[in-house]
Amino acid sequence: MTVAFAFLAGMTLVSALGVVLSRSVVHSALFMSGSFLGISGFFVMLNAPALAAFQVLIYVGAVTVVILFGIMFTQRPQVRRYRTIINRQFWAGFLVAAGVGAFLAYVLSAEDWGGTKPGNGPRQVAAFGRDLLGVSQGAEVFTLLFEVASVLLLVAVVAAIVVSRRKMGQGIDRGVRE
Amino acid sequence: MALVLLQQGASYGTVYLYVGIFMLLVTGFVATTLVLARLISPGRRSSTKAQNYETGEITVTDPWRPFPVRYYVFALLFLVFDVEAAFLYPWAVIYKSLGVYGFVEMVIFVLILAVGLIYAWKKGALKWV
Amino acid sequence: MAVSGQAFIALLPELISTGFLIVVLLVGAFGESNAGVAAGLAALGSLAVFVSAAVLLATGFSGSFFGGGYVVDPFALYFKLIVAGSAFFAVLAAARWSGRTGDAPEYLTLILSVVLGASLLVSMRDLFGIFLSIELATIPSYAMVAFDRSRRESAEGGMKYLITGVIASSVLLYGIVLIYGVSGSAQLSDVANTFTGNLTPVALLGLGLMVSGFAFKVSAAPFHFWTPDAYQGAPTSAAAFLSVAPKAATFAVLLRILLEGMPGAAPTWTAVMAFLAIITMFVGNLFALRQRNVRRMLAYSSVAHSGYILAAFAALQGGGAAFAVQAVLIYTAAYAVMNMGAFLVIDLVGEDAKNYNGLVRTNPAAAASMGLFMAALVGIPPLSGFFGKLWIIIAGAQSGSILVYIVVGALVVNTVLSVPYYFGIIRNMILEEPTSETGGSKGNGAVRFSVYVLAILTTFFGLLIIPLSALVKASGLL
Repeated sequence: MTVAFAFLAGMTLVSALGVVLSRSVVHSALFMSGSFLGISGFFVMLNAPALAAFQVLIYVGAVTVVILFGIMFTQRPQVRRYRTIINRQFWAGFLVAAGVGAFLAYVLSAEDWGGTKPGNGPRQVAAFGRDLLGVSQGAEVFTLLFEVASVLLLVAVVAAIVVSRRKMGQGIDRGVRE
Repeated sequence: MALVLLQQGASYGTVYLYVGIFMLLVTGFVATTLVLARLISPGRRSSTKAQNYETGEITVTDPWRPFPVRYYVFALLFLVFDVEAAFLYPWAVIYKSLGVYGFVEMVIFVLILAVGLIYAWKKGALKWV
Repeated sequence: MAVSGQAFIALLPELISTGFLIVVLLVGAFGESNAGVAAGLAALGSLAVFVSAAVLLATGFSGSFFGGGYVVDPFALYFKLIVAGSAFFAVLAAARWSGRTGDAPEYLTLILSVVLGASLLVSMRDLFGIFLSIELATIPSYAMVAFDRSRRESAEGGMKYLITGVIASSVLLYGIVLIYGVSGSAQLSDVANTFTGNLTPVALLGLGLMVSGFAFKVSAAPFHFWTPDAYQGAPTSAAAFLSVAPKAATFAVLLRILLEGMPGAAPTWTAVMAFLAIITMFVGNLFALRQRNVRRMLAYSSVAHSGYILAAFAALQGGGAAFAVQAVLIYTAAYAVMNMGAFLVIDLVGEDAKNYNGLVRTNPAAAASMGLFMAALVGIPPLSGFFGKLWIIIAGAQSGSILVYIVVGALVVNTVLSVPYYFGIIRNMILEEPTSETGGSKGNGAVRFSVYVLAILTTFFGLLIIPLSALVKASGLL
């Protein structure tokens, strides 16, 4: 277990550093998917294989693609030297990040978590699905939230299309009129 | 492999241990091949070799050009429907035991998202121009 | 397992807004040049939501559904009325403008989805439901701010709002997850068992992160920096609506979380609220003083008003608690009416302070309305803002805590501080000579109608206050 944890933690951290330090944004995006993959390994270790699958499906798959698409719309970033990445705020940023990390690590490890333990979640996908659909005891509100999630996704579609539509009168306006 | 193990009732840890070993093997294989190829292959560089091969065109401008932002809609739609698909898996696993209730729940879910798809379609957001 | 028929009645306002949202969207997808139809449907939809909530309120419908995760009580219905009412005026104000952009149905769909999110939000008793509803109310608002393609500031404001908003959402979610972790359940009734007198460090951290997330959503200082840019860039109807409806709903749910989920920890969070309230009031008013752009000025003024409402949160202790809840309820209604009106006047006149020079002579009706809204925002009796502040001061006086007295003192000081910039507009309208820059009568009948109705509501808020406070008494969150 410890070996697996060390491996996953190393993978997540190294990839995360790669995101910040790499000179090419494309490499940063790919490093990010490595980091996401490490997180999905953590989900497996925490007895949540369904979440691990979602992590791979949504984050490693879709979010990385969205980010790569996002990079496609930019000009070629003119980053040639590390000096542009490691700027004057480097030490300030480093100290803040380290401070927040140390603080969170201390607070979370000092807590008496009582009955909450890693691996308490529903290991079976079926149990997870029952919770998600609001069938199981104590999760009834998820019946409602499940449908709310679909409306949220619908609204996200509309918002995405609205924001990326063309300016009026510039080129062919998107739509049936074409 | 992992599926067979699951059917044999192997423990959770064992199954994922196999998954982990499998992933390590795959990565290791690719890495070894690449490194070996680099080590074994003779490297004699010449200007002729660096040229474009046969009918390959020489690029005239920087290939990194900003794309029109409208293509972003494809990526975002992909993301949205990917999330929808993620919701379908746990539902499918327990579909039989849920009966009509689960069916209706998912029908409403899919119908609402279908409205989004219809909208995107009618607005031409699915058209790759 | 099955959902009862009662639950469908309880969800009536939400079902109606979902239905109209989908219909308006489909009208946009299938019809051509149908801004009028879409606007009519959207206005009808928001009215239907208003009426359904009012009927539920009048028939005394209440209950808890979905295993206690969703609650319909007069408190929730009251805020659904505010949300749906402001949505109605936003739709009226947006009808003509959104038609010109060519994407009217989309804009109106976004308004309706904010209504859906906000009205779900005020009924949620489950932390994850609260997060999901907040997102449902926030995601369309990013698109609404960035909707105006003819102005660069709109895209800029939308971008700033999106990035800061996403960070705030993740902070909020992190706080919620930590609270869920320490209490083992996301339902407020279970959270209340954990959040008793002594908070563990993680519980405190969770509370702090969650409150920071909420402070961002209600644009409380020091999380307010997105507000001026977003409201300046947004279309006027969007700024008017977003500064009112989601904010009222967020305050409502914050009140519910604090009172139902963490009553035992009240000494902790009232101190946090007092701190936030004081900073927010001063930041809002001091920055508003320096603005020459009326939109930015109103954005900072909305920050200041968030501070006044947070002052009521600080008074949620001791003998003043019941009054403080009432103060929040009355202030949000009063604020909704006057702030929405003031933003809509911008649509009629213009956003530069110079546009208001001598307006009394060129457009007396608009000038009178603006004068009323400005006086109401200061808190001149008997206009709407006065009653909100009155309730807060009474609640503070009854709380019996030194800290709350300081907060109330800061509120009084800030009211004085706010006089110059609100009355500056009135002074410009009356004393300055009209110039070529003076706004004529831009805007259309629907906007003018909304402004006048809101002006009348602001003026006669004193008459409304009697039925309102009866409603509020019945709401009984405490």
